[in-house]
Amino acid sequence: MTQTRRLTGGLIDRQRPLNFEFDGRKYTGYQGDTLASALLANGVQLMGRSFKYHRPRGPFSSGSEEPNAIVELREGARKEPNTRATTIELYDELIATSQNRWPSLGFDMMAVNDLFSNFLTAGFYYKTFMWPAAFWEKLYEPIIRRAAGLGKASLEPDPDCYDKGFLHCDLLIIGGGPAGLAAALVAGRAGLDVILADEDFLIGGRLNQESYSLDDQAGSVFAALRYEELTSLPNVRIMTRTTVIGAFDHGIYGMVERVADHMKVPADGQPRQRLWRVYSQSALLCAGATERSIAFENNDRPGIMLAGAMRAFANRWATAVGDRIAIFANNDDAHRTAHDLHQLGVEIAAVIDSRPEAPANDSFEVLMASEVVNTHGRLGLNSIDVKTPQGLRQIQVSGLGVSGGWNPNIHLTCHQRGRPKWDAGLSAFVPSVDLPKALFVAGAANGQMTTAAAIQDAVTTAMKIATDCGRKPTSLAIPKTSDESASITPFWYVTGTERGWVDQQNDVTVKDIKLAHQENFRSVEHLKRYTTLGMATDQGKTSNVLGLAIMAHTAGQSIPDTGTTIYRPPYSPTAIGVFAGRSRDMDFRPIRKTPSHKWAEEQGAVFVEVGMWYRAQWFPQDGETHWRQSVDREVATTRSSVGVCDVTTLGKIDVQGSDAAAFLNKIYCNGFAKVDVGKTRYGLMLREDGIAMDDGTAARLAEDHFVVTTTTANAVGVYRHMEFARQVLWPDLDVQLISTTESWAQYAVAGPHARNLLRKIVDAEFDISNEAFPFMACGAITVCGGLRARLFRISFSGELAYEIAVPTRYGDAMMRALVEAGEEFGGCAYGTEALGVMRIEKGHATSNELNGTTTALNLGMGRMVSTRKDSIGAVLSRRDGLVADDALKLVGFKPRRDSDSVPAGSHLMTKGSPVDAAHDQGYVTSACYSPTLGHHIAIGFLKSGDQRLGEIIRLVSPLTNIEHDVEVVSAHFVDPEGDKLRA
Amino acid sequence: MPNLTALSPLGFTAPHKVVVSAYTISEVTDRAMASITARKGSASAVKTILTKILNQSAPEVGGYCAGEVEAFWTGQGQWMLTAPFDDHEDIVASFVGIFKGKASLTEQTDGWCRFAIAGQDIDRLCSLLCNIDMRTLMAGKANRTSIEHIGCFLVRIADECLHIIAPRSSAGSLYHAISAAAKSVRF
Repeated sequence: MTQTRRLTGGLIDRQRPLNFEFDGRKYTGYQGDTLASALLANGVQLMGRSFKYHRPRGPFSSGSEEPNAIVELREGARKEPNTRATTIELYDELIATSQNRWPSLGFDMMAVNDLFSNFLTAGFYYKTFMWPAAFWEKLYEPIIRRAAGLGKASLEPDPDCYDKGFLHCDLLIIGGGPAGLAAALVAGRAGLDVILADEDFLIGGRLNQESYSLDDQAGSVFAALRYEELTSLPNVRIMTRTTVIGAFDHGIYGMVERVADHMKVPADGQPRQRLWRVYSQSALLCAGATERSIAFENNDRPGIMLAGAMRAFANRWATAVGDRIAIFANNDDAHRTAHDLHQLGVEIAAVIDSRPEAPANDSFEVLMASEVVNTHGRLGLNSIDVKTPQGLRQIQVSGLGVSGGWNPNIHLTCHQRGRPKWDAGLSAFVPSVDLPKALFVAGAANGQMTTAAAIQDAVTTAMKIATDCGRKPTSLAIPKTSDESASITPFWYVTGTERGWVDQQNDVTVKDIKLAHQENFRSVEHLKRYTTLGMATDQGKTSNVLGLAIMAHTAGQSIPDTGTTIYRPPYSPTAIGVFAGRSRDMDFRPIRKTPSHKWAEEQGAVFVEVGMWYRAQWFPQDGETHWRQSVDREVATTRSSVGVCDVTTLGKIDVQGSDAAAFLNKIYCNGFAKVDVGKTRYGLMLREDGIAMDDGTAARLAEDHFVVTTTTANAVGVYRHMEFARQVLWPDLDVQLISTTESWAQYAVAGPHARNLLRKIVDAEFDISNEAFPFMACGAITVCGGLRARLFRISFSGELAYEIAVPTRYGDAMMRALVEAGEEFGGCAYGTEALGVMRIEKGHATSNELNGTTTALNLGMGRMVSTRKDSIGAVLSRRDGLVADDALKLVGFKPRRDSDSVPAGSHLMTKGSPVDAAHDQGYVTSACYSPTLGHHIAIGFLKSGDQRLGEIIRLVSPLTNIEHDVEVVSAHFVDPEGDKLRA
Repeated sequence: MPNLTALSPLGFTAPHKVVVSAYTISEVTDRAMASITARKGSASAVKTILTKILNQSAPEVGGYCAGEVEAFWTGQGQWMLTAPFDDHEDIVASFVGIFKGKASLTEQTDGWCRFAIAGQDIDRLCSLLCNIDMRTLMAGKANRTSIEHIGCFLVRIADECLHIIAPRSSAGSLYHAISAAAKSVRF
C-alpha cells in the first residue's frame, strides 16, 4: 500500500497521480505535491543527512527555508545537488537521490562523525589544522575538501538555457499571501501597473495552508477568488514560481522565475529559469513570516519539524508527518496545528507548552509549563522525554511539531544595509524604520501576525502607494477571520541542552554557541563565522534569530544589545546559470562579421577574434598543412603580384563641419590644418599625458569633410575620445562626428599589380595612374558599372597599395570581383597574419607598439609632434621623463643565425651584463618569420636604439629559455626608402 | 546599375523573413538612411527644414515620424532620416542641397541592419531583449538601447510592429537573439 500517510482534503489533484523515484525506490504522489509532501505521504521521513555529523534528517519546514531535506534532483547533466525537497514541485518521472551519505541514506558510514562530536565542535578546523604548516597543502586541505560540500555536481555542461529580462512597473508586490493579494487588488483596481511575484507555484501563501475561514470561505477559496479577479486586470501581472532574490539601488529588484523546474525537461525554446531585473516605482514586501524552532536535546530527528509546516503538510498537501503527533511550543499559534491534525483524524499525543498558562483543549492533552528535554529514535522519531511540573514523562510519538514563534521575513529590507529592530512584543526582528526609498513592508513581514491585521496593513499601505502615484484608490473590506490570538512568551532553548540543534543544516548546536561565547567570539559576525551558523544553503532562515537569542542569554544581555542579523542577496539559493543567462558558449558575446565573411568561409578561412570581429587570419589552400605555409604564400604573392585584404574593421569616423580641419589639428599631434582636399595624411593621436594613443589616416573629401580611420581595436575608444574633445574641450567648434565603420566595406589592394587589378574594377572615367592619383590621394569614384565607391592610396604593407570602399551591401560582391580580377596576375586574398608580417617587414607600428606606455619619440615619430601648434598631449609628451637621452627607440632586430627566432616579449641585454630588470635595455614587441627575407625578424624598443644600429645585443627570454644574439637594425626591413608604395 | 549583387545584412540576396513563434521577423533593406546633425547654431533651422521634408513636425526627443520619408530623433540637434532606397540610393546627395549647409549629412544606409518585428504583445518580447520601459515606447516613439551588448535603435512603427535598427556586422547575432527571445516568450 502506498501513500499510507495521506489524509483527506488538501490542494492536490487526486485525478492526476504522478510516479517518481527517490534513492531508487518508486513512489506515487499527486499533482500539487512537492517532493517532500509526496515522500511524507508515502511514509518516508528520512530524506537527508546533516553536513558535519551525518545525522539522519527529514523535512523541517514546508518551504524555501528548508535546512534538512536537501537532495540531488534529476540525473545526468541536469542533476542539481542541494535542492530542497520542500520546494520541488512533483512531476511525473521525477528522480531524486539523497546526498551526503555513503553507502546509503539508512546506513551512512560517515555517521561515525557523530561519535566524535566532542571533538568536532565549533572552531575544530581552526584549532586542529594549525600544525605542522607543511601538512596544510598536501594533507589537510585535500582531506577537508573531500569531506566538505553537499552533493555532487554533474561535471557536465548544463544542457538547459537561461534567460534574462527586464520589467518596469509602478508597484512590485513581493509575496502572494493574504497581504500581497489584498495590496495587489487595491493597487490594481486603482490602475497601477502591478507585478505580483510569489516563489510558490500556488498563489495564496498561508491561506492555502490554514484551516480557518475568511468571511465563511476556506482560505484557499478566498485566495483563488482574489487571484481570479487579479488575472482579469490587464495592468496586473502575476508571476508564480518567481522568487525576488534581491533588492538593489534605485528601485531595482532581481527576480528568478523558475520557468521549467516543474517539468522533466524544458519545453522547446523555453529556458529553465529566467532572471528578471525589475524597475519599480515602489515595492511592497509581503513575504510573510518564517517559524523558528526551540533548541532541546536531539531536536533534529526525522519527524521533528516546525509546527506550522506540519499544519501546512496536513491542510495543503493532505499529508500527516506521523500517525501519533505531539506539539512543543511557546505560543498559541502552534495549538492550531494540534487542532487541525486532530480534525483530520491524526492522533495527538499531547501539546507541550512552555508557558504556565496555555489554552486547554477537550480533544487532547495540553501539558503546561512543560518542556521536551530529549528525543529517541535512530532514523526517525520514536519517543520524546517531557519534563512536566509533575515529573519526567516519556511519550511515544512519530512526529513532533515545534514552534518558538515566528520571524517576519524582512530579508529584502536588509539588502541595502538596513538594520532591523527588535520588537519585544513579538520577540522578533521587524523591519527598520529607515527602509530603502520606495520600499514598503506590510503583513506578517511587518509584524502583523494575524490574517486580518496583515490584510488591513497591506490595504492601508497599498492605498498610500496608489495615492502617492496620483491615483484614487478605494479601500478593500477586511474579511473576518478566526486567527485572533498571537500570544507568545519567549522561550529559546531548554535549560541544560548541549546537543540541541540551532542550525540544522550546518550542525550548529547550543553547545557550539556557548563555546563561541566562552572563546570570546561573541559578536554576531564572529559567532556566525566561528560556528558557521546560518552559512548553509538555507542562509539561517530558521536558525539565525535562535542562535542570537542563545548567545544573548549566555552573555546575560538582551538580544538587541547582543546584535542584529541582516541578510544579503540572494534570498534563496540561485543557480549560477541564471546569472549567466544566454551569455555562454557561442552566445557569450555578439559576433561582428566582415562584409567578406561569407566568401571567406567558402574559402575555408581560419578566423581570429579581434574584439568582437571575426577576421580571416589566413586562407589555407590545398596541400598547405601548416599556417606558416599559407601565410608565407600570401605574403610572397602580395609582394610579388597583388593581394586583397578585408580591412573593414578599421574604425571610420566621419568628421564634418566648418571647423573640421581645426578640430583634427588639435586631435592629432601632427599638422592637419593644411591637408589638401583629395589628400590623405597619416596622423598620430596622443593621450592627455603625452603617451601615444592611436594612429591612422584622415582623408579630406571636402573642405569641411574628413574621414578618419583608426585601428580596429581602438575604434570605439578613439570615437569616444573625439566626442569628448568635441563636446567638452572645444564646444565652440563647428564639428560633427559619426561612425561610418560599418557603412563601407573596405579592402586593401596591395602589391605591384594593385593598380592593374583596380583598373579592371574602377570605372574607366576615373584615372588612377600614379600621376593622377599619387601616393596619399583619395577621392570618390565609381566601380563595376556605376557603384559609388571611395578610393584611398594608402599602404600598410609597404607595397603599392590602395584601399577601396563600397557600400557594405556590395561588400561580398566586391571581394569576389577583386579576387577574380586578381587571378590574371596570380594574386590572392590575404588575412591578418600576412598583414601583420608585412607591416613588421615595413616597420609599421601597431597596437603592440602603441601599448599605452610609449611616446611618439619612442616610436621614432618624435618630430611629428608639432611645436607650432597646440594639440592634445603635445606639451606633456615633452616631459623630462619622456625625453631622456637614453629613451627607448623603435628599431628592428635580426638573428645572427637565420634559424633563430626573435620572439615577442623577449628582453634585450647588453652583452656581458646580468640578466635583470636593472640592466634591461628594452624589449621585443612584434616578431615574425619574414618570407621576403628568409629569416625571422622583429621590431621593438631599445634604449637609444637609433644610435645603436649594427650593435650585437643579447636577446633573452627566461620564461622560454631563449638566449642568443641579435643584431640591431633599422625597423624598416623592406623598401626603407618607400619607393614601392610611391610607384 | 552596378554589375554587383547586393546582400542583405543576414547574407541573403533578398530580405529574409521568418515566423518565429508568434512573431514575424523581416529584414528591411529598402530604406536608405542618413544622419542629420545640425551645424553649430543651426539646430532650429535644421528642424524647420526637416519639418518641410517630412510634411510634419520634426521628431522631438524620443520621437519618430512615419511617412515615405521618415525620421527619428537620435540626439540634440540630430536625427536619422530614411527614405525609399530605390529613389534615394545616394541619400546624402538627395537631401544635402535642401539643408543648404545648415547640417552635416552622413550616409548610414549600410551601416545598419533593420528588422521589422510584427506580432501581438511585442512589449513582452522586448522585455526579454532590452531594458526599455515599453509602456513609454508607443507608436511614434524611438529609443536607443542595448540588446545582447549590441547598441540598437528601437522604432515603434505601430502597436504591433517594431523596427530594431542595429550595427550591420552584428545582424546575425541580433537575429539570433530576437529569435531566441521570440521562442522563449510565454503567453
